[in-house]
Amino acid sequence: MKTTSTSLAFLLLVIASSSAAPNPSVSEYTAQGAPSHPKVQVAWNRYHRHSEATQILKDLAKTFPDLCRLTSLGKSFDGKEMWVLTVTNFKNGDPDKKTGMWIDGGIHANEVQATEVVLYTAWFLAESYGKSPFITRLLDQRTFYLMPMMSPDSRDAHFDEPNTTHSPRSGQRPVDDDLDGLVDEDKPDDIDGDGNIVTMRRRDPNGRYKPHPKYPEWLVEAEPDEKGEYTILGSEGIDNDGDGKVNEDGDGYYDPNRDWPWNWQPDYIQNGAYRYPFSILENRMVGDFILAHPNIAGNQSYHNTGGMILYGPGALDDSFQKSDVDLFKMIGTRGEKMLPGYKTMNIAKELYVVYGGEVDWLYAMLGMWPFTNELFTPFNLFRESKGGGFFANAEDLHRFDRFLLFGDGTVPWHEVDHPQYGRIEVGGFKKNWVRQPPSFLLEEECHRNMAFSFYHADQLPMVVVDSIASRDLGQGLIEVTAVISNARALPTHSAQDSAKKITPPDEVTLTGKDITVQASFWSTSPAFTDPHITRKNPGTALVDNVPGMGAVYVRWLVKGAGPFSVTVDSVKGGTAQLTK
Amino acid sequence: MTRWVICISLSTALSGIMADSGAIPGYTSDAAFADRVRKLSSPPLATVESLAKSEGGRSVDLIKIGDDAQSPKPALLVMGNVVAPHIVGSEIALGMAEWLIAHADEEAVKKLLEVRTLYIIPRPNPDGTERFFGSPRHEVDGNARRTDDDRDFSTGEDPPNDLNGDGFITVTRMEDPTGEMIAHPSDPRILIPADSKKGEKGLYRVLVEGTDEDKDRLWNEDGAYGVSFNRNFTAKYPYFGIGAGPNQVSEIESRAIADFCFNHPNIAAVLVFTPEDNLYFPWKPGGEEKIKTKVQPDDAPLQEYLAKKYQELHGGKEPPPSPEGAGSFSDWSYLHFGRWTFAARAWWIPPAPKDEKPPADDKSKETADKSKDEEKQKKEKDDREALALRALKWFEEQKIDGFVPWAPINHPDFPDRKVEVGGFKPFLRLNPPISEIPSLVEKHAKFLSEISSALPKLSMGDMTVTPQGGGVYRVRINIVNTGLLPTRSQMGSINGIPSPINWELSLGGNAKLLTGNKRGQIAVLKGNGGNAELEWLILAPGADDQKPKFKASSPSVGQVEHVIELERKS
Repeated sequence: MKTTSTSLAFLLLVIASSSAAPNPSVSEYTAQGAPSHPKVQVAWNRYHRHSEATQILKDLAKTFPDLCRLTSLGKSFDGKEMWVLTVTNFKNGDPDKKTGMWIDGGIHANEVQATEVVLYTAWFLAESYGKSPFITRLLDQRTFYLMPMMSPDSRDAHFDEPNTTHSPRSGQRPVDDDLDGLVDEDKPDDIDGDGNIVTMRRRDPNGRYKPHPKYPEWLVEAEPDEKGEYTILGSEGIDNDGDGKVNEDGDGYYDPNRDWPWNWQPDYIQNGAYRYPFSILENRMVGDFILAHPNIAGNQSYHNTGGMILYGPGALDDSFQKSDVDLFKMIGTRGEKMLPGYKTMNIAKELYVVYGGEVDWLYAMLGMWPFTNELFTPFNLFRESKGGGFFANAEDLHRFDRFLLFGDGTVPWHEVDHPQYGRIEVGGFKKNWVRQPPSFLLEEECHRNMAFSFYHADQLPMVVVDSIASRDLGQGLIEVTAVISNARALPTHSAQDSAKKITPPDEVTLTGKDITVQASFWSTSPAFTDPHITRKNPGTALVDNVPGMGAVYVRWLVKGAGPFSVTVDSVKGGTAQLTK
Repeated sequence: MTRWVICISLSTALSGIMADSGAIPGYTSDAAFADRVRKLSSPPLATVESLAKSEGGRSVDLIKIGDDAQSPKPALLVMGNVVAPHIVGSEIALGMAEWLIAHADEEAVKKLLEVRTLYIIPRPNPDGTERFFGSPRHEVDGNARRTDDDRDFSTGEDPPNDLNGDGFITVTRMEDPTGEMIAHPSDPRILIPADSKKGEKGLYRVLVEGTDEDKDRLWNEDGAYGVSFNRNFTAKYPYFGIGAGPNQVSEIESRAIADFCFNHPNIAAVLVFTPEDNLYFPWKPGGEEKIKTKVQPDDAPLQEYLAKKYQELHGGKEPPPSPEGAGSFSDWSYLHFGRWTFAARAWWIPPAPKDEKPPADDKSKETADKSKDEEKQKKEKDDREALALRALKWFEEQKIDGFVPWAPINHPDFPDRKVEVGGFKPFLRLNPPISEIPSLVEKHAKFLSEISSALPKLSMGDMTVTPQGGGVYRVRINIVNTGLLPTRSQMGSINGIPSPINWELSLGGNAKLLTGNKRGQIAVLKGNGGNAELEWLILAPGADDQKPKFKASSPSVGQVEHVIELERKS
């Protein structure tokens, strides 16, 4: 394990001391937050490539065999494993019958911290079980399916190949983006070989750009009545194929988050759509896994950037069911408190239109409760609210770079020889700055977002048999009435789920020794004003939905005597039983 | 949500045939069909390839005709029965392949294959097609995937049943106070909805033939019929619809064929056999909608021109209306794949021959007379369900036993009621007697040539080389589309899926470009002389032996090459 490769000495110190055994004779003073003596050592202030992330997952699975299981959904285009870590108390119930929470990150691989948040979540859950009563209860009741790297090929491409903070958003399948018959023939070119794709400029007495007076690395437009010093030549690159365009056909380009079936539209409507839904192999593996796990009720996807808690729909001509939107907003609003600087937003109305996004599919076609968080907010730079936007403004980014990163966020302008433009200069932000938190904010980002996902996971439906009452109706007939409640905010069936008949009804079954059930019915009212009579097999009432923080009432007419057992089996709300 | 629950029949003379010879004798089932396909393999002229193996273990086959090993040629794709019960499409598509291979030495075919490659996928949904040969006969679409058709969380719990044991799933009728149907005044065998405006009162309740297996008072609501190939594509996809599948392009067959198409950018046009007919019912152009669902205004007249050619070749009259597609292959092929798309029903039960009339000189007068005549006829007889009436009449003429006469049965769900089974036998209204296939094959093979000759063609137009002195040359060239159709459809230009024209200039020796680029693109050239001009300044000292080479091409259009003589030798 490479846990000590951080360059920050004080963190080395913390790790060194925490890994030492505590002295039993001295009471220890621990910081709140992450476990202080983790069995699996990970530095949460750095980024992990696919092989390192794989090692963390393997270590967790090995160290916590009753809590973590590692499976691969298959191999990516470049042959990398598509890891899913299932985290739950495997000794308490069938993991695939417990209410499930799917958490993924890095579908846009350049949005690197998304992966760290998912890894941190896995680590925190496993390390905290048995120590934190809340986490212990969560893992006893829920199953977490964690997929830290949705686009593993491009994660390594971002680490290892010349890129900007914005690339690669696509996967690594070769695609002829410009339909010129050549594939990926004009990628960006790292002219100075430093691993960063930055900006090219030429000193030019007639240029219209000049260095910013306070932050000279920042090139700004000259005033209309002022002489400039530079001409901007675009992003670092060469016209490799002689078509007069620079960098027009690199990685991809398809967008893995425009590849999901609900409201899918082709590329001319939705830029980045590939051939058809799930035409990207990695996504199809994820889709198949989620379809095979109908117990998954909640979903959290991580992206960057801008500090947003996003819910669907992604298209303006689409609408989600009102009662579901109210619940998305409720959970999001709780999240805003945990995530300072984050705002709960609808994708289509408040961000931009997305056809064929992952969250839309999870909600509209599977009836689940998905959120997308855009990690890292401009607010975090100086803890000042400056309105919306994905990125901090250029001045803040340069100021932060100078005073907190000591200039390491920028490639200083320097001269290079360009085969087409001659002697020019290149410079600008490095690929690991702008969208990603620096080391000292990364761990905070991980923890706060994880906390939000735990709140969400805890609010997923949880069925309970509140009570069983019986009454003799005479002539050997007994009326048994059970109150089935949902102890959490989210219903067992979202309104969309009910409307489209996606998830089977909740089964409420009465059993007892030598009893015969003659008939049964259920109602949303204790007075049974709207009875739903069971058509087949009266022992099991099929309940459409148990509302959040609410109840339904089930009644059986029975021959025979108690005790009676009532079992609830809800695909998304878990199972519960009571005998009386 | 339309399922192909149209029913049909067999002539008495033919009803003694063995079960596996199909709903209409002569049609080719699974293994025999695969044999016929494999027999066509005769490289380099024709090759056969399996695109996928279906869930039922059947091969989705592709026949490729035309030797394009040297350089890929613009291709025509022919799709057989995208709607499984419409098996005539399958027979015609395979028949076309056989016909073209058999006539490969004839001038017209030779000419076609010189410039085009043909891709023929005769049976896109082989599992679903087998129902034509199954027992009991039931005219439904869908593949072998077991689907929960009524979304009640159990699969296939209430399929239809052959109550009278005649080997056909037809319908039952029962006198019932809730009944909405009555016997047709013109032919009591046919049932029509009672029209209260005419003072009619419903008499019969009509159900698909079968029992209520799951006792939910719904009859035959879930036969687990699988996913329909022609409802599984991305354009106008019917989310949550019966037969639509869990999502777009979810099936083995649809995915293999979509990928085949995307992997063959040389496909220029598509001929698809389907009841969604755009050859007798050309698509109406759409407005300014952002998400396109209609043929684009520039494409409509060109599609219509070829539709007219088709009608001349086909000669059929009064076709049944074309159903709206949802997730259909032909909508996808045009709207999302961007190709010229021709959708042919190919065959329908013809109208009864009209009384012979003396030929009129004035054609418009003739049409007017005809429609007046028809109106008069309408007043005289009740022509509701005219196509059903037409079918009964035609069955009689052809001596086809296509209708199960209403006869009482004991329906287990209605023990004390009078229930009758009857109705059209499956498949016989959708598919012709096998004897009609050869002429349909020839007509459609000829139509392929019509499509082919309308396709765009690149050639070099005027060009000038002006020596500027000092080894500097101004070169202007012009590239022209001499075909009828533009180099890509308007829809193709919008969706960006078909390729634009790519050009390339290769300089020899030490020549170099002073202006312009070595490579570039032309988005589209209109049909009938659409052209584009390119210009460069080239520095070529000692130009005598330097001949820059210009090449322009698009996979679906073809290519043109030209050697530029900088110094003309006199």
